[in-house]
Amino acid sequence: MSEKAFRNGQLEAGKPDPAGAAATSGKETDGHSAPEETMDLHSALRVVQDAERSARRTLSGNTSLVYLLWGVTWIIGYGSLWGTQQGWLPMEPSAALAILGIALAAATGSTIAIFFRSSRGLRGQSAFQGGMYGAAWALGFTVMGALSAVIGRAVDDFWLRGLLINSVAILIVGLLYITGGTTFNDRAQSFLGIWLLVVTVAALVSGPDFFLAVFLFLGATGMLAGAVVEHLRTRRLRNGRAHA
Amino acid sequence: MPELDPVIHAESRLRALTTLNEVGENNQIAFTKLQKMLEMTAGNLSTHLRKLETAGYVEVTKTIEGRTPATYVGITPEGRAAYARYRKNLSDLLSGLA
Repeated sequence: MSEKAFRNGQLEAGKPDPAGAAATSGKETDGHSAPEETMDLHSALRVVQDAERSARRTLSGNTSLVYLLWGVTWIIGYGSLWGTQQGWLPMEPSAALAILGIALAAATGSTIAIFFRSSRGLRGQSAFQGGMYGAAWALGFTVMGALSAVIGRAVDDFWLRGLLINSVAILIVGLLYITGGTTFNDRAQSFLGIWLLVVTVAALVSGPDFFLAVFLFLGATGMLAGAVVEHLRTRRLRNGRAHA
Repeated sequence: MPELDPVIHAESRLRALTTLNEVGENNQIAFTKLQKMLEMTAGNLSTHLRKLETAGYVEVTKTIEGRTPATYVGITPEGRAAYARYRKNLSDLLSGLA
């Protein structure tokens, strides 16, 4: 477990790398040899199933949890705004807007943490795909922020402004879900993206008085349905393998 | 009668190769992350990876990230083919038992 592991002399500085040391020195770092394990066929199948399940859970992140998180965020945010618009929530619209903003920020932070954790320690094609996909989200919403400022200055009506800004935001989300599904071979994600675009059209058609209800009841429901579908799919894969 | 590749047919190597197969071709995983996922000691994992590397099933790459040395492991096309063959033979053998 020393820097001597890097015998080509290229590495002089930095922390020692136990992995590199063990992998290149040909010596055991823990003083134990690796015994040859014997396995019967059923044990081998169990080993494969367990390793596959564990790897998928660690490497792909918890997509079901992410959808659930966003579904709840939409319910809290759009529910608050809709409640103030309809008058049954004793709150100023600006306060409800702040709740939506805080909920979105919390959901964004949590999503980044979930996917960062799963992608850390990987490199290669999938890391590039994940990195560019993450950048697309960041850049998309940077442009969205700039556009929101322009819309805010140009449109006086609070609810019409909300309709325009939220429609553009969900347009971006829908398109990124569709492309995310094609990039990562996740059909459910692409279908959810298509659903969000349908919801956006419905919201625009509904107008400033009803768009929040559309986002709340159709958009949030779509997210929660995505969470259920993803959860069932993961469970089916697990059980299917267990009974294979 | 299909035979199981003896290089793969050992629990630790089978777990390692299955995990690397999930990481995918053209991708590599940090040794430390792989070690954590497999819950193996560095020395034990290294020994098994060396056997897989000797067979041409995995590739071990050493690099520097910032000032920190890091080791990455990835499955090779030969490793993917051997793993697919192993899975098919295992399945065929289990079907024969049923």
